[in-house]
Amino acid sequence: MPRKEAKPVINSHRGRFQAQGTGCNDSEPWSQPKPLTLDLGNHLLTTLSNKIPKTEMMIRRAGFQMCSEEITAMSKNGGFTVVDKAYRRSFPNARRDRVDLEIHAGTAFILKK
Amino acid sequence: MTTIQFRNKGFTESKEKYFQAINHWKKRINNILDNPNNYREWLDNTDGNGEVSLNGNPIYSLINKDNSRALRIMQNEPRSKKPYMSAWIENSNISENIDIPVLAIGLELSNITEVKSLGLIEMWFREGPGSRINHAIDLVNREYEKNYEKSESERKIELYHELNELKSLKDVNFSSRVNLSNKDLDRFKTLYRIKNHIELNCIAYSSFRNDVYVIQIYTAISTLSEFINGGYKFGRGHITARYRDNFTHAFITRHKDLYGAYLLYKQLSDNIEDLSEKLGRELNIVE
Repeated sequence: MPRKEAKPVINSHRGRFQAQGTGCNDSEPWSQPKPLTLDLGNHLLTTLSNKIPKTEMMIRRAGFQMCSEEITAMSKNGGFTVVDKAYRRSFPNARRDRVDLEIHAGTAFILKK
Repeated sequence: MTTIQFRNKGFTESKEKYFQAINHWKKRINNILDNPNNYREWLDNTDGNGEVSLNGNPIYSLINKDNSRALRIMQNEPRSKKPYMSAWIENSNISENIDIPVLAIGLELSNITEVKSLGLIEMWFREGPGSRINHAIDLVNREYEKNYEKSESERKIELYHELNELKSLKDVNFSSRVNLSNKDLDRFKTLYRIKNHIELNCIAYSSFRNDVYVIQIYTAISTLSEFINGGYKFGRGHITARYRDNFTHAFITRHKDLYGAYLLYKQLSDNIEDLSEKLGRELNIVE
């Protein structure tokens, strides 16, 4: 019997959290075949906040909080799906020392079923 | 001297005003582009339900047809007396493994910040990344650095005032002498003299974990009544030994950890620059 070839895994759900600004440039990306859950999103965000130096975390404390609130709000709407336009937001808005959220493709922040 | 006039005030209040603000950017930017048809908006600003988020994050975005560079503008309601503006170049992923350079501009929109941002946008789309745009961005950031940081500090201080703990602790009456070393005392007096309560709020913000202690410092200082023989005597009422110990401990800890405060002094006012430099030298902080 001919061996079945494994289907290639397509990571069609991609994005990243980033702590950006004058003092740091770190990110926590995701790239997976299934939509990102809110739980995993929060986990990535927490990982990022623990990864950066304390002073940088202090500067972005409000940004992390706002980002967490944003993804929770998205999850209540069934998550966010990128259709034709990309998604990129900064928290706080318009500040250089910030937390960025990018959803490059697919769906993110769905509630676990 | 040019008078500062804020633009699009209240743009986050209603959809109508929000779309007016978007059209304002659209018109202005179309005027400086060689061929506006070669560009399209590329960022989504809706919530998960397809409703526009009225938050200016972003207020407007553009990408050129060959996907070689893009623009992202974030706008805030004016909260500062002087508008701030900052700009940077970032990368954004448009498809797997393809990052494109993006000019990001964050601002409170006034007649002046508008002109400066349009200057950057024009240069960005005409010339792309390079030393000229980097230099122009540096100039803008340097000019607005103080406004930006001052507005940040003011916002942080406002947040502290909003804390419930602070509100309830304000009602506590302190009556105690807190003995401090002369060195700590001198620093304390310097801090107190410069900006009264504001420094103490800044110290509060520099403390990441011991907010309550720091708030106690704020409260204690705000009821400062007199200074006797190397100690402060605080208002009327009572203070427990635990409070006194906590206060002394927190005060000394904070003064050993002046770095955060030092950074924030720099942001607060042009007038205290000299002092922050002095403190920086004293603490062997090299910038």
